[in-house]
Amino acid sequence: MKKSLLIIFVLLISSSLFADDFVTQFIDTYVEEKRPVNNVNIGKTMLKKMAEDVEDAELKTLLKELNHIRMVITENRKDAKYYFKKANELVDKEFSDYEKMLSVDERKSKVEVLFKEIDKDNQNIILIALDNDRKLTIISVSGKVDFNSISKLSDLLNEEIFSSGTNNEHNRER
Amino acid sequence: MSNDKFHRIILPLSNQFYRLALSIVKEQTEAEDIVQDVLLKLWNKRNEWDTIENLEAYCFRSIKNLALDRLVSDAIKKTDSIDAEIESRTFVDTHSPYQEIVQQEQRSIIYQCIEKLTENQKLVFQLREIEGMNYKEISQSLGITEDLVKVSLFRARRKMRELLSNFENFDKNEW
Amino acid sequence: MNGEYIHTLLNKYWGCQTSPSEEKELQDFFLGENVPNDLKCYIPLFRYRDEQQSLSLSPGFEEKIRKQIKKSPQYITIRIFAPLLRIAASVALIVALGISLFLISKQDASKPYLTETYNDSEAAMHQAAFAFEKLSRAFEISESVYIKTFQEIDKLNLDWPGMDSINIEKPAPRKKIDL
Repeated sequence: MKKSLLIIFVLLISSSLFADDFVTQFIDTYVEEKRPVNNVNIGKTMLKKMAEDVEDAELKTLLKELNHIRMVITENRKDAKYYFKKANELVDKEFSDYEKMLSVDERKSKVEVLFKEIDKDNQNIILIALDNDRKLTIISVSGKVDFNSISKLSDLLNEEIFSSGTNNEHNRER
Repeated sequence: MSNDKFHRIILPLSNQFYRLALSIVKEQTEAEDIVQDVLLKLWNKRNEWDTIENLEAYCFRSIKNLALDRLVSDAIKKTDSIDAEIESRTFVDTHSPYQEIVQQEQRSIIYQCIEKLTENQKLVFQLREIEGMNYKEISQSLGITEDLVKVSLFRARRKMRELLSNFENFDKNEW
Repeated sequence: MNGEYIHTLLNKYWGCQTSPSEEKELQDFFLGENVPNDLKCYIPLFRYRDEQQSLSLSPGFEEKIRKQIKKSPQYITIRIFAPLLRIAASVALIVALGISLFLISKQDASKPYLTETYNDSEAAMHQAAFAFEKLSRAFEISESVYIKTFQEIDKLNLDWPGMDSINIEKPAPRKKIDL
């Protein structure tokens, strides 16, 4: 592996323009090199493509109504706890205008979901979850979302994946 | 490690990819381009291979999708005639020009019959008759359910049987 | 190979009950000399199979691919950390193919530091499914739904099972304290 000059892609630059997004801000402000995280960004273009690629009409509509899905995940115990604290700090600092949709606070697992309505077709949802004190998941979804659409999306996407045959069975009887 | 997987598993499937692409776009250069595109695209995404459950099936699906895309967007007109090279390919057992003509006629008959199949039937037909894949493999490679595979194959073969047995334009004695 | 056997096998074939090896048997038979008259119409089908099975890419294809692979940049993932993102915003570098790319690589290729799933809608599908599943489950396991404004409750259609047994009370209005 070559190690030297770092080159940044334009797409990453553009992602820093979404300053009002929780995950983007979180990465900008708190993520450190020594504490690497997994980050997934699914933008509008990709969502449109996904909508084209699925069969189900309802799923198509739901996907088209989303703006982006961003995630940050770490499975390192120390980092998870550290970033969990930082995520909450960020909420208090910059996202205090969000409504707390639900919060579960058990000894080892904590989940919080925050919600903000921008307008009729535009909502932001933030999820911050710490599982078993060792895995941190931060998800931010923007678009037309509510309780209903979330569980529908979850079911339909799982169905889509299942029916598109991505099951891992390697029985090649010829 | 990814390098090895690519060379060991994916590249050997190149011909199968080619035949699938060819069955869709019906043009050799185009089909080769498609295979090349998919393989290179796949290589460039090797850091995502871990998220893909079945790499081989994924490739087949990509080939199918790209070929269908090209079919739609290309200026290549889909005609009833087949690529000249394929058509002129002769069987080893050709003894006379006359037999060659007969065989050519047989060939266009079958192509005509295949054209009467639906999209899914054609694809399933290709993967089963030519590549010898089982139902599960076909379903994963095309991204359709196994039930649809079985139904498509059944209907495809039934259609072929019907069309071929009703074909009266030829002299059976010649064969 | 007697006629009876072939007729039976052929019927099995139409019924999609033959194995690939039985299909090969049929193929070999139909390519041979002794095809009965009533079955001659099916010769084109098996000829087609035989012809297509032997189609292949032009020679040197694999070599061509290998060459192209060697040429492509040898990066696996991109590693970014916060301070550089800010620099990037002001520097605006564009990547050109053909220039060899020097990137800091990650030790663990299976866990990319930062990835953008913008090329492959399937991988994105998995990620999206994960995200919504997580959200969905969060709703399910929550013991109480805590919503501040009654307006939000009105707008949402709360029809998922977990909500049935929960009483949603209109939250008491917040008292504004003037200091």
